[in-house]
Amino acid sequence: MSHELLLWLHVLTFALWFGTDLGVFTASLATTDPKQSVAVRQYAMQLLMKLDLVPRLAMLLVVAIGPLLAAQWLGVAVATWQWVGWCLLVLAWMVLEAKIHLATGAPSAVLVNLDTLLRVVLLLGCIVLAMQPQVWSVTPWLSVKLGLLATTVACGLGVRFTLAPFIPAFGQLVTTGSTPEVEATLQRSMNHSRILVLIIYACVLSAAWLGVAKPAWH
Amino acid sequence: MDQRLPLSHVKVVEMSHMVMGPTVGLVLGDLGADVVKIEPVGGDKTRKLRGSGAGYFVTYNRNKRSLCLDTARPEARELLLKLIAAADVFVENFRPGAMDKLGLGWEALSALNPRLIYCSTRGFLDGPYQHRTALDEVAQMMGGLAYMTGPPGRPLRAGASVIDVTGGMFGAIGIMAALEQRHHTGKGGRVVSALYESTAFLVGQHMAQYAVTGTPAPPMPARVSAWAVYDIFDTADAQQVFVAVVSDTQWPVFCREFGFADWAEDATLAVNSGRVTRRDLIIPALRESLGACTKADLMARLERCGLPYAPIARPEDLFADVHLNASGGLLDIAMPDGAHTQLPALPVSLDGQRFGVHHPVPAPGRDTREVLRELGLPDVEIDALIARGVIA
Repeated sequence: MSHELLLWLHVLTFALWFGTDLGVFTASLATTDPKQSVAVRQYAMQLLMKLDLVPRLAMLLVVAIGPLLAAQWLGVAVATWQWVGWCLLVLAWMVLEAKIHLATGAPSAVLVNLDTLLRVVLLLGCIVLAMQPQVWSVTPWLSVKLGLLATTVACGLGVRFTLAPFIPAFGQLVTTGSTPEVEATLQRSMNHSRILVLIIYACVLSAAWLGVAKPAWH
Repeated sequence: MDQRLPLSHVKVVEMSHMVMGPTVGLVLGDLGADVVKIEPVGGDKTRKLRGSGAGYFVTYNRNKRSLCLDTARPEARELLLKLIAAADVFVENFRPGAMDKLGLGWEALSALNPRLIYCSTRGFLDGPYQHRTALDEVAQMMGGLAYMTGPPGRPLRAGASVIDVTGGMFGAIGIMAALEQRHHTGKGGRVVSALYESTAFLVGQHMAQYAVTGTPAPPMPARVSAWAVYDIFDTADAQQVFVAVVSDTQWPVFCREFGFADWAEDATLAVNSGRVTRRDLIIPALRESLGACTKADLMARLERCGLPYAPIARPEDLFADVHLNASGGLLDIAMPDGAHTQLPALPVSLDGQRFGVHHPVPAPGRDTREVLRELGLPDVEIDALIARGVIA
């Protein structure tokens, strides 16, 4: 595949990821706004849930395209079976992600754990790759980019942890109405997540700049 | 009455709106059935009606639990089917074919739960009109009731949703018959009640009058009275009172009380048929005599004589009605917004007791979690479904 086409796809998936995640973030502000009616907050939640699949899949597309692009940049030969295999692997992950997201009710714990495991593997893979001398010495910006991706994945896992009390509290809000306890839980959970989300955005924007500027500081 | 209400073993799933379908659930719920009302996410649109429909939801939805579902979503329909599989009765009032499209038609649900009693409330029973859309007023117009209610040439609907409520009552009667039948057959059945046929049933007395007399019944305001005194009289204080003298024993009592002793002795007026022919003499004299009394005085004298009478009350007057308040005829109803009012109880007593409120009028989805927990769904599953907007 041509470098230009891969680059174009990489930029496109970045835009898709960042754009739709901003949409999710904006909808999340309405879900915790006690000045809004429960019906409005519920609608915002539905919007959030529907939209949230797109950045999840877009991130995986970034994961699919990024290594191929990096290999081309570094001049590493990648056999057809290797990149096809890699793309199929990521595609399977995307199917897993969609299955989790579109599950009726609570998703299967096995699938969620598998997804978490894959994310941990990706995170560690990024760190190991970033620390490789041939990467660090030739393209330090790529090492930093990999580090930023690892941070993004770690923050994403952190968001899952901080949002754990949010869904039950939101369920309470809808079925029994707003109470100070429910509002406090929602607010606390969302505030913690927002910090991590802002870190993710900083990482993603920095990584994008590094990909464009490719600064050399040796 | 036994603490256990008569229908407390019956589980009902009600998927209806407006008046007729909810009336079915109201009757069953008041009698003790566990009625789960299925509402769309955000609540039944009947809740938001204004004007003459503003009281519909509060009137017809006490003693029910509310479960909000987005039936357009397959996950929601799956939950609904699970609920219906464990139910005794399903009540719906959507246009013909709508439930089939959702996979909730009679064939599908009876295959799922052969013991299910499926009640549809419709505009018309099966026949040439079955696909027409009907409303209470449509049925009153085409069923002859509006013609009979208004003055000649001015058809008028009755002053309450009598056909919707009657149709709902017949639906509930049909369900109770089907429940009894199920005791013998072990199988459920399909009950359909309809507005038009309910109207025809009520108007049957006028059809019979025509059959018996050979003369069409004129509208009520222009009818030939069957009794000599069966009229509304103006009082001295600009009020109105309805007075009836319908038996030959009431007549002399009435005459002596109001100073017409000579009429009491008059043999030509001793029987009702004789008095009816002399209404032109009797009624003007009574208007003058009774019109000199105040409303309170007139009612006190009629009460003392044991004669039928009635003040011309307005619906809001019933809140303070002595009899309804003293006899448990008005129930304290907590409305979804927290305000309280009093509304009439089911007009029947069993062993001298009236049926009360065991579940206040629900807010939308008030019982979603409770109902789904009973179906065996864990909270984590319920919360996830809420977050996705499948339930609320």
